[in-house]
Amino acid sequence: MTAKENKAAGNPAESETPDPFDLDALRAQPLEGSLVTRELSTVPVRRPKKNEFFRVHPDPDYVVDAYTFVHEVGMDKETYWVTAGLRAELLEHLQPTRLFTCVNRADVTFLWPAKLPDAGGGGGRSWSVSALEAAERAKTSWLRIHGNKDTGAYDRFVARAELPEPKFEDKTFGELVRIAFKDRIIDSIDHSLVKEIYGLI
Amino acid sequence: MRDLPFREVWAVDFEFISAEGNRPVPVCMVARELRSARLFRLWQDELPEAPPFPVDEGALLVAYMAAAELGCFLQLGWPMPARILDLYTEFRAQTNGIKLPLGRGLLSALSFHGLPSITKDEKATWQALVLRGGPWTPAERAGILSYCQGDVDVLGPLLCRMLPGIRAEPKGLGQALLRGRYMAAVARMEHVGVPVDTAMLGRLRAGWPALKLDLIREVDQDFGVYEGSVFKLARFAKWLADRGMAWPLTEQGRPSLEDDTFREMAKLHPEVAPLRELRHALSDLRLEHLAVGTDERNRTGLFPFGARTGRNTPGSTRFIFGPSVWLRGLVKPGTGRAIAYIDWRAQEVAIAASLSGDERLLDAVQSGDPYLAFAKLARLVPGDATKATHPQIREQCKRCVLGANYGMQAASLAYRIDGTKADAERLLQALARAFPVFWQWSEDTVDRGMLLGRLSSVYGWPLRVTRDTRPTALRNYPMQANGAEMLRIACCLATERTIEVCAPVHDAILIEASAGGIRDAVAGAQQAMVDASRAVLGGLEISSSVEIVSWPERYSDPRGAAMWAKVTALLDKYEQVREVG
Repeated sequence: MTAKENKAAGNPAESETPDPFDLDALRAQPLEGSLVTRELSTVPVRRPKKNEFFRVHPDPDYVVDAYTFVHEVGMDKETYWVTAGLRAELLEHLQPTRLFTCVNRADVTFLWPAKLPDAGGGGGRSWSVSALEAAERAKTSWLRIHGNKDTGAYDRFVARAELPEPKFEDKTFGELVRIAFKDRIIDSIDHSLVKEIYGLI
Repeated sequence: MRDLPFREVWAVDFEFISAEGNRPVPVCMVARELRSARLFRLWQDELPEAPPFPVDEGALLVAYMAAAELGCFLQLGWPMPARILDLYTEFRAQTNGIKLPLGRGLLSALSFHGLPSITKDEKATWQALVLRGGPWTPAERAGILSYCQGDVDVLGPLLCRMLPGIRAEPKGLGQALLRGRYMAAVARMEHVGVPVDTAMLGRLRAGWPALKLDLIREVDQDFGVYEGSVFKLARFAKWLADRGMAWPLTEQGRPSLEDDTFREMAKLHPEVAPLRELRHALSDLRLEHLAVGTDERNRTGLFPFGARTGRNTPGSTRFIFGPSVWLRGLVKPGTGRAIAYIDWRAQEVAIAASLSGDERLLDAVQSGDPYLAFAKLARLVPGDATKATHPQIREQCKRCVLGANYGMQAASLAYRIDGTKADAERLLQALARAFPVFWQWSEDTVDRGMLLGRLSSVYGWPLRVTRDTRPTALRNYPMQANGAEMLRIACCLATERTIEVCAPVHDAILIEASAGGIRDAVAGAQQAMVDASRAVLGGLEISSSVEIVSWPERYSDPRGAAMWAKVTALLDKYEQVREVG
């Protein structure tokens, strides 16, 4: 191959003899940097698991009180976001909830829909109160919670080890909520769950 | 080829006789200058005291598997060429990771590039005639020379086809010449060879048939897993259960009997090592294949760049540093001589730290014990812990760090740390938290390979990614390929500085010198290894550990020491019985 052909093929032509003894000149820089961007596609909406140490985002912009709809199928519960326009319509079926932004030790971000206590002091109040207290405590400490049927409340277990500060996702709360509820939003009376509530299907 | 920056380009090929374990004996040589077409056809008795063509920096020597040609150079007392381009290494580089139906030989390279060639059978016929040895008739001589010239004449067209690929990368030609430089080091190492206790080898070979059965009886006393000479899986399963020893299982739920499994588990449970050695000795050991020359040295082709990582792949039954580690007891320096086994410390972790740029991992490496440093960072041990005070946790951390280099999952790690899957998961999570930059770089490496279809070491040893490439292989590639690169450069530097390197052994080298000169030789070799690590890692120095063995002592690998002791005791017993008889 001539120099001209080599150039046409896009190959560099050496102006001088490459020296196999000049190791510095022959070394290529290690490839750096990621070729991919991680996109957060799932944010679970659930209570912290009993063995899961977690932290709650301390920024008040990362918590909201909302009315949610909890769909129960057997042992499974799924929490749905209800748009503002439908809340009055569905109020008696909705659950007042405080939605906390949490992260566990594996850096998984999730939203914890903690039930707010009934104003009338009905049954289960101590569960709700202890959950909210645990969430407050988790803004500054790693802890896990475990339901205690004898006390009717959550026990808190605070980590004694010096653990690193939590790593929250670099997203706004609104973005996290949109990802978390992307396919669980009730925004119309034509939604199948609304029809189910009214016995239409 | 015309714009290659060399005054002359010489294609060279030797025919030679290579008796098992001995140095090559040149039969003839053909050399052609590829631009002017000047030609030398020289029979063995015509070969001059110096090469008939220039070998300075302005002349390029082109060959296919140049180590063989350069072995003939050494045999003839010729100086090594300053610039070598080996089309075998370049064909390996060009196709690394791709399955080749015709193998890696010259005929395969020609076929791959659409060039005509003689048939495999024709080649085999001529090779057989050469290896038959002389005397050759005048017609046979002419035929052999023409066959040799045929291998030279195809190198020009092959070079033209391969050059665009070699020069596709900005430093491609220089990196190819560096690989050629290593072929000179390979020739020097094959020339030196490994000193072997041939008297002991003779005893072993003679006694092997009886030894096999006695070894089963001897080793099996501690296991009870053999019935006669048959290994019984059910008995082995019971032996494991009786000890509560977790062992990797096959898909069918039976204990895995793979040699790799035994080797890994023997590291964790040293009591298993004799059984592993025995199983390997009974199934794969071919003592008669061990290549030992008349000068009492093990010498076999190192097959440079044989592995995808670029590591050497010498034949496991021919090479003394094959899988039967107990057999390394045969390595013994001659009278007045000494050998030294020099091994980089924590080489893989140092490569990972340097290339990923993880400062915390670099600090851990520079602490001298990265595994203990990880244990401290993960708060698994107190800050004042040492290898002596916390050996078990350090070992678990070592397995975790090394396993993570190739993406080991919790289930596999659990066996290796003798813990539960949950323990292994916690340890892997701790590692990711302790060294987040390394962890991300490791993920990026897999992504890069999958997206671009190619990974490369810092001196340009490439891997093509195909649909069969495992992500774990990609993840581990930077450590292995750059580790291999480091070893190659160390071998170049050491042999060029006239140190007698007997053989490269994974990430170590074995050198030899007079008993009085071994300390200086070790210092020189260690400096070469430091220089190589600095070159590959952009300045980071990796230190090495040394084990010196002087005559009349012999080399011993701790993993095979128990087996070696049993074998030698049995051989002694046979001889006592013979003497009494």
